[in-house]
Amino acid sequence: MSPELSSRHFDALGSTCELLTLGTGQAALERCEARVREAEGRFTRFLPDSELARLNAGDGRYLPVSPEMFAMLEAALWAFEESEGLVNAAVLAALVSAGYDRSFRQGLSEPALAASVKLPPLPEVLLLDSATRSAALAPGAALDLGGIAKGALADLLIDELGDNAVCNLGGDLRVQGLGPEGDGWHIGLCDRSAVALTEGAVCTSGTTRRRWGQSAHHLIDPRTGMPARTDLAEVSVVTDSALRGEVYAKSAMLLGSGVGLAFLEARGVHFAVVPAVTSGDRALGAAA
Amino acid sequence: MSSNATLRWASMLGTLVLALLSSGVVATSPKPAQAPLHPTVTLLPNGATVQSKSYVS
Repeated sequence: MSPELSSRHFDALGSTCELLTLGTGQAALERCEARVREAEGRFTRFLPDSELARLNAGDGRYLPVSPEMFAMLEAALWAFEESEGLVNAAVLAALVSAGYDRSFRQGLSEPALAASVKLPPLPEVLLLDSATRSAALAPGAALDLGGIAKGALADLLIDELGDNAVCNLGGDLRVQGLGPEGDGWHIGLCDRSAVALTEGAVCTSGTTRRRWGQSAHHLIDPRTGMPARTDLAEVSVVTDSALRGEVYAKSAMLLGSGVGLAFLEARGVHFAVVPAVTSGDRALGAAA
Repeated sequence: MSSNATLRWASMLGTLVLALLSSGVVATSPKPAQAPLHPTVTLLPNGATVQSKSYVS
């Protein structure tokens, strides 16, 4: 008898999450969902008493942080280096300036005058002290850990689901095992192609969702401090870890089709793209 | 060995143990480990059954 496929869907981390497992059962799914929700409470910028909100309000002081937060901040620094500064968690001021100042579900409005915000390089404003497990943010700097947290959590939580499972946190997806048909899990990419893989991650970044107003969206280009102007609507990347996939997909989105696809080709990863549809001087997402 | 030297060694040893313990915590970092960067990927034909989707959400 083949193992039973169990699944669980829920909204968390500002996204739709999906957990799949073969043979492990509902208890593992519930445990994993609880850990996602616990992480959301820690890493959200929308709750004033979250650990991230306290760090953002630290005003330059070293604050003790949880092991989970310390690890996530290390991941954010890694992402900055790996993307040569394109994935910069110190992006919150630009998000707020673009109108993303509350949870997306509460409805956002685009400011009448789009303002560029100069963003500091993350390593210059985030200091970590591993001896005391504490962190300090320079006064005025503030972090958004949204994308990094989804990728990193998918990597951390996949083992919670057993050795034949999918942990899909808002499109940052980690898989392991042979899947229901024995040839790996079948995963759809942004261009509607599909791949099978037994170990690794598939991550998609794009501007087709979380849009508001005429042209605002959540993908900030740290080089301009404004929502990115890119000729790509979505990029999916297949690689070893969801954190790396998140970083590569977002980097390619920001770099655009010319440099961005070369960036991915140079790293030898499998990828899929959806080009943006241009309307006047604006690029609009093509996919639903 | 004088008692002062013994104390200094004990202090250094304590610091080392604390550093090791704290690095043990940091070892839970989600940074990618040294694993194959390019997992084996099989492209599926159009219309293949898909179990999950990596779409922007």
